Amino acid sequence: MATATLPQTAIPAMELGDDLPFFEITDGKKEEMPPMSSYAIQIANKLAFQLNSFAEKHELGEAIVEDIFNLRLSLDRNRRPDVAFVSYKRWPNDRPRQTEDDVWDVVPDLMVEVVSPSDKAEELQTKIREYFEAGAQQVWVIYPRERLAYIHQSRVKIDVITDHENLTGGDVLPGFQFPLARLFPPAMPRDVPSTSTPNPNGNA
Amino acid sequence: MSATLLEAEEAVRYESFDSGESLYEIVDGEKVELPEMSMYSNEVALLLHEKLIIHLASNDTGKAQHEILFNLNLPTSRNRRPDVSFVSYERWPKNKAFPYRGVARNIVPDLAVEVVSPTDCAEELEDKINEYLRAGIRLIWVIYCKTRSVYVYRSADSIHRLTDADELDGADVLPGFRTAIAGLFPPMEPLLPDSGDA
Repeated sequence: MATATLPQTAIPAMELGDDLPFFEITDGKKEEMPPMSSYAIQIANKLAFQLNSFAEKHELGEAIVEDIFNLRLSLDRNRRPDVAFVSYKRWPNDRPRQTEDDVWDVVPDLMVEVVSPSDKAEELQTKIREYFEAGAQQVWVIYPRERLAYIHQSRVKIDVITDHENLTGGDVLPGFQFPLARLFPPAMPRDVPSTSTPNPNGNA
Repeated sequence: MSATLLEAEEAVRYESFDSGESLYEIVDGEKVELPEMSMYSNEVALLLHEKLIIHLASNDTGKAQHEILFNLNLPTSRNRRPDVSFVSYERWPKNKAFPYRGVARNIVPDLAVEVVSPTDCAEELEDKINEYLRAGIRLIWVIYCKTRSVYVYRSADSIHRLTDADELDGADVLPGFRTAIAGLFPPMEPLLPDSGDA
């Protein structure tokens, strides 16, 4: 339940010690995150690069990988989305980014999760809910193995982008278009669709 | 028509998988143990199964099943065990004979339902959903207990997310079936902030 007091600010990074694994902060406590798969890290970096190239050219804002944000929810929760895009509307370019805290006190316009094999389905749904509750405009979820992206434009409006289609920026990055397939290396082994249609009436 | 000799051999081989206690699926010919479903998500599955049976009692269009293994007839051997499924009489006629041997039904269900447990991995679930679609399952429901929501898949392009303010309906797969999503969930103990689940 929400308490009457304001959420705690993040524990300054210096107090937490050196060589930190990636963490998020819940109820003022540091919680270690399971490591992202190296494949997911690659994808996150490629996407951030593409978003940044576009955002910089059009002076829209900044995309960043694995930065930690204060979502100011009723639970004291700071989240570290795999990729985030923060528009200059939400954080002007000339505002100093942060003071002593290591947490950026802004809610990104767009947050992206690149799914690693160890990520749990329910936790992912909770993250999506929190991101929207906090004020994100869009949440993208990228499934590397299936070469798909779910574009959540709200809690109920979802589009799926396949590897034949483009990621688009919608209202957040108007005009941004990037072929989803270019985020992934050549196809990972999985079922190759058969040339004949499957017989739903059984093998007999 | 009878199965080929190869399929019969495979059926006998898969019988040996059945000796364990836990549920399993068959992926690329290998037995893959299914992680234990949470007790709560199992209750949700049973409750939905019950609702389907009640509907089918007066709309006899097929059979609803719970945790039955299906041979999805995909290029690589994929036998899957959806939490709840529905096979219409169109796909398996009402009095069609079942084989004596074999652990998996050689039929692709019309409807597959997955109730997500806290331990289920996102990518594996997504793989499963896409397999179901490729295999020719017409309607897929993915039920998330914590957020009390259901993702409805009609095809690779058609995905809708419903919340507990909505109703789940059977579309053309289970015509006339409607149920309030809020009614799918038995009471759940409050999630404590310290637990990491909240």
